Amino acid sequence: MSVRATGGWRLRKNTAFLLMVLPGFIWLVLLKYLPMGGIVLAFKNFHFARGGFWQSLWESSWCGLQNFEFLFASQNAWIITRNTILYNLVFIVTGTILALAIAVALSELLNRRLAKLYQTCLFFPYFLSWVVVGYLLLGFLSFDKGAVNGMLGQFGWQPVQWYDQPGVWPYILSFINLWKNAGYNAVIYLAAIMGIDRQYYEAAEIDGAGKWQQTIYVTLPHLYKLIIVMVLLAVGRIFSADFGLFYQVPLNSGALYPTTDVIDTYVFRSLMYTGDIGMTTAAGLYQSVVGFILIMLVNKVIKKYDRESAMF
Amino acid sequence: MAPEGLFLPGEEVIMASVKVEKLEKVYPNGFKALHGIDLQIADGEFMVVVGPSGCAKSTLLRLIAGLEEVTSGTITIGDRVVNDLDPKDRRIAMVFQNYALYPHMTAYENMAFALKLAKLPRAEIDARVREAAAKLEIEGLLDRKPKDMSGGQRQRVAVGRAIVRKPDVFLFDEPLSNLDAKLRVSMRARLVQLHRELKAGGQRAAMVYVTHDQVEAMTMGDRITVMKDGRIMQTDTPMALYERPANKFVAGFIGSPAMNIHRAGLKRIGDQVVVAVSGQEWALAPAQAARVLASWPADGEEVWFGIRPDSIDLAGPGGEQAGLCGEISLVERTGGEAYCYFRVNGDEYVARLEGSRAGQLQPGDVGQFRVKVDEGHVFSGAGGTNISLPAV
Repeated sequence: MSVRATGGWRLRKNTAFLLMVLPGFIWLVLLKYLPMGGIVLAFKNFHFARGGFWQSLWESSWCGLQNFEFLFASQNAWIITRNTILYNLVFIVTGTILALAIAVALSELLNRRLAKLYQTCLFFPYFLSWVVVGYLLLGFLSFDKGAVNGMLGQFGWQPVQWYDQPGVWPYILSFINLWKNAGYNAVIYLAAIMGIDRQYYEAAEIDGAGKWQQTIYVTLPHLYKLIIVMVLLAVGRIFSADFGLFYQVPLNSGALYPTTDVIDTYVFRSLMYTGDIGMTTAAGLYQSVVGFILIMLVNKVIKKYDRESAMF
Repeated sequence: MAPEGLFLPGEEVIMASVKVEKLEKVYPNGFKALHGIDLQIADGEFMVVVGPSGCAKSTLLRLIAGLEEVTSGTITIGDRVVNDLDPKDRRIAMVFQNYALYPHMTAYENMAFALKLAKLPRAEIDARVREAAAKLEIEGLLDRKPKDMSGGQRQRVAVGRAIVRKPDVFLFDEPLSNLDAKLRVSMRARLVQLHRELKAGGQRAAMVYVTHDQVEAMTMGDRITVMKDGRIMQTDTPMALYERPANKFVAGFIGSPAMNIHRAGLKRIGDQVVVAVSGQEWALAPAQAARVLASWPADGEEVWFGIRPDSIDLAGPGGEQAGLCGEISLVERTGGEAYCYFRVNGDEYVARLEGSRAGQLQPGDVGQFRVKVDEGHVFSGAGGTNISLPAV
């Protein structure tokens, strides 16, 4: 009785907070937990039948791990896995370093108006759709009308078929990803930097630390936990590639697949050509499970060295 | 060559004084924080800068530290004008209000940080840190990080971080304000003792200590500077400030409970000067009267009469001497003494009485009090200047 009374009292006391949580909770259940039921598709030989999706799901036969075999038996399995992991590793490392550098630089700007202007300029690309970015890049890299080939021509050099040169695309995609996302991540780090008590910097200044040393000994240690959380979240998505970046930006050029094809684009194309929902669900499940395992592993490693910095 | 601000073994510490001349600070929004102040602090002196919030005492400290840019005027430390020097080159150390200990470093690393940046030999760093830790009795805390220490322990580490640098000037920015009352008292004593020890050990660094707590100021400082609205009201020894306040502000700010200050009128009756306050008329002592006469206010100008709570006592039988009679509104008994609040013709007074003399006094009683008028002060009505100030 008393427990119920306490529970009711707590509920009344925290009504406002619970109402604030409610939209997020509904979103989580509707879009993240309910679709988990679809995991069964990865283990079924799904075929559309009369009666709609649920009827089809019910009537489809179980096929064990066949869908996973199909994914890994592909000749491209190694390439897409390698590409996905390597790109993500590069993005995590370069993205973190650049975002931190931008955040520190912005925080040091004395002119707050200019700082806000730079921040807005750096943040802007994040809001562009990958389709727009893809065609923007085409404006630079188009064989006959592109600005880059135009400039090469000015120097008397032969134009390059950029969309036939897989070797350069890891650099192009890495650059584009940095250009689009660094500003967004920088804003997160900048917000954290703004929260650091100025007295630490003043103490460091009196202790004889220059700007660089203040960054090393004051800023970075204060951002350490945030960096870990951001990296940990990124590691969890290491098997998932940004579909828009790898599909729209290279304009789905077949010649570039060796260096631009990742799990997501491969699965998408497979779905388009074969309509095999089972295989694509298997691929999605594979990405999630590996991501989950990686997060747990990285968190465990962090916990071993710095218990308080671990996420859970 | 020794790095600036940090001395290698065997090097002499410069006898450093701090001289502030016509110092002004105007912020970009046009707000003038400091109005051309002058202040001189001798080497080895413990100077407390005290004043209410917003009086620019911390601004003064930050200007000395080099954390803010001087608008005009000069700051000299030792024989060097330091206006354009970086904080690290001013040979100063600062203890901040929230200690500003680097949270990811242990107490040892915090204390060694400045020395490490100055590239001092490791053995020298270790010796200095351990020496300071011994002085502050924090040897057992050296491996702990700030989060694992209490407020008082953090405070001592912050002081240790300042000591190891062997600066010419220590700057303290309200360092005890985050501590509880009991710890504040013990840390106060410890800091004063530390100052003495450093002086005895040949480190005659000046200490500039900013606080808003006048008890801290009275108990710690060799001299006190009282500030108000970016101006220095008075600089003197604690007892001189208490006994000879230069103006009404200092009189009201220094001392707890505060001085009783009420509007008054002055009359000349022959050679005598009579002060009329709260419906009473008291003749000033001849010496007091002479000084008041020398600065006689314009006709009709009201003055202020101030009397410390210690200069009011319960009247003896017969009601001799100048007296006040009023209804008691509150009696605060603190043990050895009692503060008795009473009202006379609408003016509130407080008297500090010996605990035993407060006896059975209760709110609502009518009390007879005697006033030591010769210990009172007359302040001009316009500027609040003490016109009865005895010559030093």
